Amino acid sequence: MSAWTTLVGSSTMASGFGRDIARKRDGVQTREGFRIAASALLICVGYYLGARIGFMLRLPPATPSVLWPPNAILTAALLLTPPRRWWIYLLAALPAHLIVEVAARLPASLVLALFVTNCSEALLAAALVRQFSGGGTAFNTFRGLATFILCASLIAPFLSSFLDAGAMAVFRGENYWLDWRTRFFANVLTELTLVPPIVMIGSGQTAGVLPRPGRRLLEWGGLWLGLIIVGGIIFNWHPQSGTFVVLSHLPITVIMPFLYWAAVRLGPLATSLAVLTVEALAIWGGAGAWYLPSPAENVLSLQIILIVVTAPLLSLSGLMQERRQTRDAVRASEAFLSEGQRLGSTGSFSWRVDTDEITWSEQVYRIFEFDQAVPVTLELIGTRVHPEDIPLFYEMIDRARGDGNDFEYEHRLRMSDQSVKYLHVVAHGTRDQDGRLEYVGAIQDVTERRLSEEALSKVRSELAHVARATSLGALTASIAHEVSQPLSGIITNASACLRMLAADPPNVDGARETARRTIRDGTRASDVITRLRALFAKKEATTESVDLNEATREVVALSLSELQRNRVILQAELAVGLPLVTGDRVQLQQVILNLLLNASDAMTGVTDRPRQLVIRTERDEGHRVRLSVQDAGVGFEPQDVDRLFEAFYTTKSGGMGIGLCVSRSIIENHHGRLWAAPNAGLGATFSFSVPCAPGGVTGSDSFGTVRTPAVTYAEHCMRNS
Amino acid sequence: MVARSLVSIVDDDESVRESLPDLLREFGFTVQAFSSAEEFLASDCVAQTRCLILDIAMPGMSGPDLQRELTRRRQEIPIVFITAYVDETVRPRVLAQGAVECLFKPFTEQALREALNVALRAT
Repeated sequence: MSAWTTLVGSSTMASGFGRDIARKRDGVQTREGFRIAASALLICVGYYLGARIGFMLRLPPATPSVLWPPNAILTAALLLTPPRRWWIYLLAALPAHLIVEVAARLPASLVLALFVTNCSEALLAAALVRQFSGGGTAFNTFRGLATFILCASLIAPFLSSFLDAGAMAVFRGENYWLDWRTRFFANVLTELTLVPPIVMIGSGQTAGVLPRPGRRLLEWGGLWLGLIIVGGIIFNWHPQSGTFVVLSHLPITVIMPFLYWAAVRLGPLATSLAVLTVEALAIWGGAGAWYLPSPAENVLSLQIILIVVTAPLLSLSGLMQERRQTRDAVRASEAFLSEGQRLGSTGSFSWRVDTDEITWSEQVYRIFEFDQAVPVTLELIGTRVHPEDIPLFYEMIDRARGDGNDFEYEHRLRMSDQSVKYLHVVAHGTRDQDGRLEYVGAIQDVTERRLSEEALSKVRSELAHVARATSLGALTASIAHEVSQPLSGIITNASACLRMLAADPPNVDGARETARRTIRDGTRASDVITRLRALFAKKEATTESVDLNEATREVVALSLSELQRNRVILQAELAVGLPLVTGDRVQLQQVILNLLLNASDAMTGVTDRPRQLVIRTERDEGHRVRLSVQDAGVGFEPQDVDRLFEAFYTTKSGGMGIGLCVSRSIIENHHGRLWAAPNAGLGATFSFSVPCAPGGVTGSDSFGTVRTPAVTYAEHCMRNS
Repeated sequence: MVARSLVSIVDDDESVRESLPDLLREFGFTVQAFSSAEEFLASDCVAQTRCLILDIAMPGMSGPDLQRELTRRRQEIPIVFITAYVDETVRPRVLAQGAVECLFKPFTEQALREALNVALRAT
């Protein structure tokens, strides 16, 4: 047996090297030649030993061999190697054949004839298997085993035995049909039991077949221990001949459970090896347990019974092996899916609406933190749903029950430790043949995403505040101016008022007029402070209907003197009847302010042309409103357009570079878009576009074209006062 | 009786044009207010103005522009600048150009009187 294993091992390696030879490398070729020579030598040795064993397995006196291994060894060798090398291995067996047969004192011509018939069986078997199993020798599948049983263990011995018997009849004058019968059954049984283990081990089809340490090894051990004990007893029990004829089928009856065990649980390799073990035990016991008159009949009986039992058992073991592989594949796939669900925080579920039968995947149990043993019901789910979302949850259930439409919604869970989870549920409704509704869907735990969105929103709000504070710094001079003007008026008026009252007679009318103006200027200063407070307060974003024109006017009013100080000529073209937009007024004003100040800064170095700045509002396509700020400044290079909106990118010496970045995030939060484009002439235009609020337009008043900002400002102040 | 001295005010801020003349009349001056440098130059008050109270930052011709224009025309009117922009560099600049004083808004009645006294003494 060890010689066979070595032979098979090396011939496998030889075949492996056969592929490498294509690389045409001398070193490899040399090694390849060495491998072939070693394989050939081992086949020779295996053939020799097989033949010696075959002779030994003849039950005395002078009965035919129970098994004849040489042919099976040749078949296995050919199955393991490519056809172009078959002649080498067949020739390699010749010396062994000569040594064995000449020692048996057979005439030389018969010896050669027998070699030809032996080779013919192996060639037929290997060629047929190769033809009908698609080239491979898959002994782990039903199809592979069935093809092997039919081609290699039945057809090939059936045909070659005619040649065998013919040779014996011609050269030795033996009984043709008796010889045919003897050789046929011996060859069939040998092929059936010896070839599968050799080929399976030789071609590495032992994954999941050979015992591994652990329970599987224990099972193999248990099977063989039982088989050897029971077989040893039953095959060595020799009751007086004729007394127990009725028991002639007892041995196989007792042995069958072990063979079934091997076929059902342990696979084709174990099945072949178990049958081999039975053969060995039967031969050791003298094959006498069949209680037949002659040893030859006993042997024949053993052969026929084992062939009849082994062929279907091997097929069965192939089926079972396939089933196990399918099951393993399904398990691996399930594990893969489960791991995927775990990683994606997404579980799947099904819900039969008529019976309220709910099935959850493992991950859904993990999300809900329920034990998998607990049966899922709507009531159980209800205990986890966040109390505030309970009405939503049951409304969703009722709606799904009613219309059978797909649904998608989000709700929260409150876990036993009071923590909150956010779930996103998507389900698809299907109806079976009887019209019963079933939903299949996915549940995703979006808690982390939701929390990070909240964190992001908070950071954005803080950053917006920083950006506003930065603008505040830039506006300090402007703000000081805005407050100083009315203060100056207040002090001057109050001084005049005091003087008028102190005159003799007091100028009461004049004093009243100056006091009135004092109040007006006080209101004007107060308005400035109010606007500043609104624009620079740190608060969470709110949603309201915003008149973009009015918001723009306020920002323009605050920044006018800053623009004026920078000698910027502001032209406001605010569309009449502009629809309202939905959003946070202060945040939108922050964006407008940022665009205005940027435009003004971009024109600081301009001396050769008017520092013209146009701020324009207009309707945009798709029920949107667009605001654009166009300057005549330095502009930007087209390749820098993307960088403009990156945080900390700035072209200003004192800038932080967060204004445009924050502005864009604010506009995107308003489901809008903020972009920049170079002008056809000089400078650049920054625009944003946001969706309109449903219904409502602004008042019909408009700035129109403003060439004297101060006048506009004064008008604005008067309107506010 | 000595004719009252004419003080002219040029400021684009309406509130200043309303309140400052009242106060100056209380001081005893004749007052004319103009909303821009151009308006002042176009008026017939230039030659009679004994003191000019002039805003620095105005659309169009600024205060310093007017100062230079008057110098060019050899109209040596004492100028008191007033401004709401607290810019420390502007004051020395206009003083170097010959201005009497530069007041930052809001200024007190006292500061204004002193500046006017200096200006009128200069003539």
